[in-house]
Amino acid sequence: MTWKKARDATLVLTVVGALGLLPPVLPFFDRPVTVFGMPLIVVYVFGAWLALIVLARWLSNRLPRHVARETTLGPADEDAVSGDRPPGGEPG
Amino acid sequence: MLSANIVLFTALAYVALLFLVAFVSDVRSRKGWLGLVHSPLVYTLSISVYCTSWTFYGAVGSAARSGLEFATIYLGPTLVFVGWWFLLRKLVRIGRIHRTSSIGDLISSRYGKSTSLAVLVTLIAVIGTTPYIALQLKAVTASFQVVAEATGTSLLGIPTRDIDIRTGFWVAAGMAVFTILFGTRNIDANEHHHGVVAAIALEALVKLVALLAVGLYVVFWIAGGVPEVFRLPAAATVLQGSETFGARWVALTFLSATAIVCLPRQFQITVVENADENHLRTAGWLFPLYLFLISLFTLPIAIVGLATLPPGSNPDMFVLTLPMLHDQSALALLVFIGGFSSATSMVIVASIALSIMVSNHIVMPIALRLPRRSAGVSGDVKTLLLVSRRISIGVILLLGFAYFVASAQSDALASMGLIAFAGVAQFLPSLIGGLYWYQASKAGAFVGLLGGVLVWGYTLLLPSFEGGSVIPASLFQEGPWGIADLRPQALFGTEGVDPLVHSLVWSLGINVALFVLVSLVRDQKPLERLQATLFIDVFRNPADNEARFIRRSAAIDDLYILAQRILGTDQAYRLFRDFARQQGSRDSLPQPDTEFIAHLERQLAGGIGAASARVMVSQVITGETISLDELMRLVDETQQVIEYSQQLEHKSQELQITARQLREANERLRALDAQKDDFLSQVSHEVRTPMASIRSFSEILLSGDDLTSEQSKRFLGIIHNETLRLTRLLDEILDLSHLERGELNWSLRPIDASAVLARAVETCQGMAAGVTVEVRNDAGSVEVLGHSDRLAQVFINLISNAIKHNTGADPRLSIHSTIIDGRFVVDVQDNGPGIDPADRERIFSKFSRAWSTDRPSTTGAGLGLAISRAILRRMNGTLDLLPATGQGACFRVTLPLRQNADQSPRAAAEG
Repeated sequence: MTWKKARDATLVLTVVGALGLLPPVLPFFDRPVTVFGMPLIVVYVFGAWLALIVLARWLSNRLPRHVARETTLGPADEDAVSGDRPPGGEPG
Repeated sequence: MLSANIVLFTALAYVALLFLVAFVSDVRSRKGWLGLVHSPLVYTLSISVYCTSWTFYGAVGSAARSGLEFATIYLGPTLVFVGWWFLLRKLVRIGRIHRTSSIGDLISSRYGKSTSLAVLVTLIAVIGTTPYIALQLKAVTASFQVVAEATGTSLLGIPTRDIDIRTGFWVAAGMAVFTILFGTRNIDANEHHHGVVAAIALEALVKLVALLAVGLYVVFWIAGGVPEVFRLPAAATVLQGSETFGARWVALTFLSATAIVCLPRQFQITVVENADENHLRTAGWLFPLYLFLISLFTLPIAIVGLATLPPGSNPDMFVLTLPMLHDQSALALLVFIGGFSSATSMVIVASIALSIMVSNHIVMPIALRLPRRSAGVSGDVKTLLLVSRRISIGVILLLGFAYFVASAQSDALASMGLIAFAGVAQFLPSLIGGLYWYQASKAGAFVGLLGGVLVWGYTLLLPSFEGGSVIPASLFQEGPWGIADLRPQALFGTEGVDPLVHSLVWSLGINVALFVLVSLVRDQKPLERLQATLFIDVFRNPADNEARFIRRSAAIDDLYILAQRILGTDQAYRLFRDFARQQGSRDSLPQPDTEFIAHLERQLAGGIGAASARVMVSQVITGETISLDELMRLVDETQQVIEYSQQLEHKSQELQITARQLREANERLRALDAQKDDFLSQVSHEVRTPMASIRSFSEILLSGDDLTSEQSKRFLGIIHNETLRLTRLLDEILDLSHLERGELNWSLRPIDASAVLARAVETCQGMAAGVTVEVRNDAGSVEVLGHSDRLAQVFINLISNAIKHNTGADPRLSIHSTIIDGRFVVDVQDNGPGIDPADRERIFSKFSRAWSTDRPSTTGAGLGLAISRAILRRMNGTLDLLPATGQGACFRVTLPLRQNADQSPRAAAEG
């Protein structure tokens, strides 16, 4: 999977996640059915939530890493003065 | 049962642990050992400062009252972090490049380093956060009283009138000490507080462990399993209510998503304290996981609490009272420490964030505008900032405490969390607009923010004081001066809406409308325009670009004095020395060029905010010009880069196509060249055989005196035959080359093709002895455009080939003519050995004789089929070998009928 595909998939995941956890979809699962002794709506909300997390984790490793050209942080006081070359070299 | 002393001792020991962790991390980071503090895990845990005591205790209360609604507070942030690549990454990048010190700094910096905007954002943040801090103090105080005075009545939760404000005071004082010690240690250009972050991360773990422990205990010990929890009658009460998933659900999800970005403390932790952009990658899924785990047991605790605790118990305290009911003192103590953690971490980070904003955006501008008392000594600004930050932390906590005391007797604080969310949500339009919309202007942001906040204050904050003595109840029932359209919770007749949704729609609606309209009407100043481009295109334009557009000069001494005042002697020295080295200068002072001034201003902005840094730098520089041309070019550049890359792509596709065509043409040329070479060598070979024979016989004739005249005659006859053959061969070659080059000495005229075929068959009868020739004409008389002798030559060639090469025992030949699709078609079929599939195309090329291997060369030069094909092509016809049917070979001649032949060349010319 190229990073552009991963980026697009992340966008889709976010949008689908938002739509799936908002009213037009949610009341659909709000019915007196139990799954493993738990109400369907509870299972759905927490299941969708967990699925979002797992997919986000899977996708996050496919997005490009940020390569900072900054020098590694020295002592805290040096932060102000160590080179702050702008980071770059990344497709944006 | 726990005594107050034990609880107090535990809390103090815990606080001591926090101090120790913060102290050790601070010392280690000062020595450059960042280790665990500088890790994505600690970063993620520190973000969970989002979960305050309001969510620690209040989520269960919310679940007990409104079922699943509590989840929205976590779902919004989950979505924002899952989509971290799009918003958070940009925020963090801008924060790092522009040394943003707070959300106020970011907004002010984006809109031309505006001081007024920074002040407005700071005021809104203070107004929104102070009651929130009060809420934390109240939660800690109440939980302390519940856990320490565990009598039968305390299980109901402490009545608000019995709140002990002394506990609140000591909590506030302790927090102030901690925050001042670790939050204002230095003016750091990065605003990193490693000690604080480490302590917050530890507190995040404590909260999580406490809630998970209670959850597991409640579900598996008290209720006896997950299905048992949901079988309780209380479960149905909690989960029923179809109104859960309505407008309020959407509004809450949106609010919480906004809050995770716009809350000053979240901005502080997520953006300002971020040490490495890659930490976001981990936080993108780990923080949602944290939220998931922390809310996993909320619903079961609420259900079991409702089912087992006496009626009238305060659901906000279920987390604490459930373990107490079952005499689990240790667990109750852990829960208390967890709640204490969530409250203190919020108070610490929020007061640091607010103190930075107050000192940078309110104290500094005032100090800068005061008449200068002295010339300014080294570090004086730094001292001023540190002192003002320490004082602001004290003041903010004091304000929070005062608010807590004032409202301790009422329940006004309960809804304060969401009210604060809605307040900071007003930052959203300016923030998002600033990051993605070039035209967003300072005036638009200011007016939008102001309008939004006023509406928010009127519709949400004001009604939260309802019932107090300050505001008359008539305001809410009848509206101000009796104008019903202006009732705070029913603006312009929008009645019957949830107050939160009502306020959110109106305040954000007005905010966005004003922001967009004013931005469109009012033009941007050059600096605004520059900042807009630098922010929006942050992934394309490094901040160094700034030096391209702002030309200014200054005396290096003035700059050095300025840097010393703000950063202190040591830091200023190192900053100047390093830049000098970078410039390649041996001196410890760099050249004060525009690039250095821009660099210095950014460094100072990290300490005192962009707006103040700009004012201070402006005081010492001379002759500032913002190059508008350059600026316009920058804006255009982005556009151009996109266009160029598209053009480039287009060009490279064209090039690929051209290259392919060239390659094909080259292959064709090489094939033709090879054919030409073949042709030449074939011709030489064909000419050499008769020539050799002529030469040898001539030599015999020349040297042989003893030849009989008969022998001589025979030899002369051979020579004659060979010359004839040679002439014929040369004629054929000439003929073929004429045909192929289209140089013709014959023209096309209408002829009867059937008659020509009949004549050709007749001509061949002579050599067809012993061959059965079967002729079938289904076409009748056919008129085509052509040349009768040439066409006859083609037919004769085909028929004679079929006869000559048919070596079968019972040679047969069938000639069948017909009309197919407007073309005259003649098939010449024999029952001979056929043609090897490999030779199917080759037989039509020059000097190829598919049958020739075992035949004397006298049968022909192998040009017959090539010439026939050329002749037919000239008449717009074709000559093909039909696919093998297993028996012999079948050649097919096709010629267009006359009416079609008339049209086709014209059609071809038009096409």
